[in-house]
Amino acid sequence: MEDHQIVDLYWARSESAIEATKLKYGNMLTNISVSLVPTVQDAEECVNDTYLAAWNSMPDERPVYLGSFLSKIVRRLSISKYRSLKSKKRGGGVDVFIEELTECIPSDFDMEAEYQNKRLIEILNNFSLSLDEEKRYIFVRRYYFSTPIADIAKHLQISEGKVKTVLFRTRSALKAYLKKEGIDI
Amino acid sequence: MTTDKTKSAQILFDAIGEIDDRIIFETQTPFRVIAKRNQKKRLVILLASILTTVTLFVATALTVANLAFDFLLNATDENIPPSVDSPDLQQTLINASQSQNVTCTDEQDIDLFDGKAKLIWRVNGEDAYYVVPISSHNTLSQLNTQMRSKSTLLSPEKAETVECDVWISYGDGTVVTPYLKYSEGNIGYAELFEYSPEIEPNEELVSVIDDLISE
Repeated sequence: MEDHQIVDLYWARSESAIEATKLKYGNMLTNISVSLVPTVQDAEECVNDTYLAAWNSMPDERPVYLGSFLSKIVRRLSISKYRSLKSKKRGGGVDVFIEELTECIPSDFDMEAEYQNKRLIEILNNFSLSLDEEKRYIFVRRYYFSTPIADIAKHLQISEGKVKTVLFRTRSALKAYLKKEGIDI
Repeated sequence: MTTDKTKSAQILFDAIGEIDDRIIFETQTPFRVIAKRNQKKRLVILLASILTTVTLFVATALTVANLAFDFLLNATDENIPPSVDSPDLQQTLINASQSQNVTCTDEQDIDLFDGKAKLIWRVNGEDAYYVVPISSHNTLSQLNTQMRSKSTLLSPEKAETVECDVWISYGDGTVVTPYLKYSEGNIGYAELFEYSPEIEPNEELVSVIDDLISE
């Protein structure tokens, strides 16, 4: 089913909207959440909360890319869950990505202000678009979708070594890009 | 410091979660990336094939052209680049026309069958023939040797500047000229034949003729 058809179901307040969403995006949403939260149950909880959030946001919202819309919700929910569970000393995968991204930060600088005024997001969009398709895929899969390196390698039919190399170089490029844009982080 | 970096990284990680929907959409599946990579591979293979074909074609064409050129070159004699002035023999003979050793006569008075070798020439525009006997066997032998040796082609322009017709009669009816390559096709019989100069008599030949006339 096309995204706009599923969105029409939400707008029509049809319960089959959730079923259609599960069918098309269930696996994707689960995979995102599982990489971030400690347990599968936590991931299921986040995915179910995502369906509820989607139901509550439509109508009003009419996303063009339903998959992107839903993945943002599940990602946000999963990171929040991870942080709340971390305070209770339960594990999760977010730390792995945070640790990798510290390489993009050249010096001590609070970038919270840039995030608050949305400039950081605009810079990240421009940076992503400046990458070629393969690099962009690897970068976004890793740090947005939280996909394991082995899975990225399998998707693209390349070696894990190449994925790691691309990620390393892209993180360096992001650091340089942030510096150039005046964000000293 | 580490805490600040980690905090900044967390903010960065959160911010990545808000990138443009289209970028996320295009990254949902790897098919675009793989399709583009395969397209690049096909293009590289196609370009390589075209380049190989063009290279082979050019190489073949050059080889064929080279072989054809060599063939043509060899077909026109022992080809040595043409065109040298042929003044020496001409001048020698023109100057010798007045010499006392030289007999000036009419063509019908020249006996080609008298068993005596002779050098004969005629200056263009004149009716008179000039004759010098080649009495020395050695001289005749030298003349033969030089006429058989490698020669220089005369260009058509230079050929037109040749002012004398020159023959060597062997006294048995056979006649040759130092201005044609020595071959069976260029041996005349019983007449001082007309010809178009094709080669330049070499220096040694001219020297032998000069000595002959000076005797």
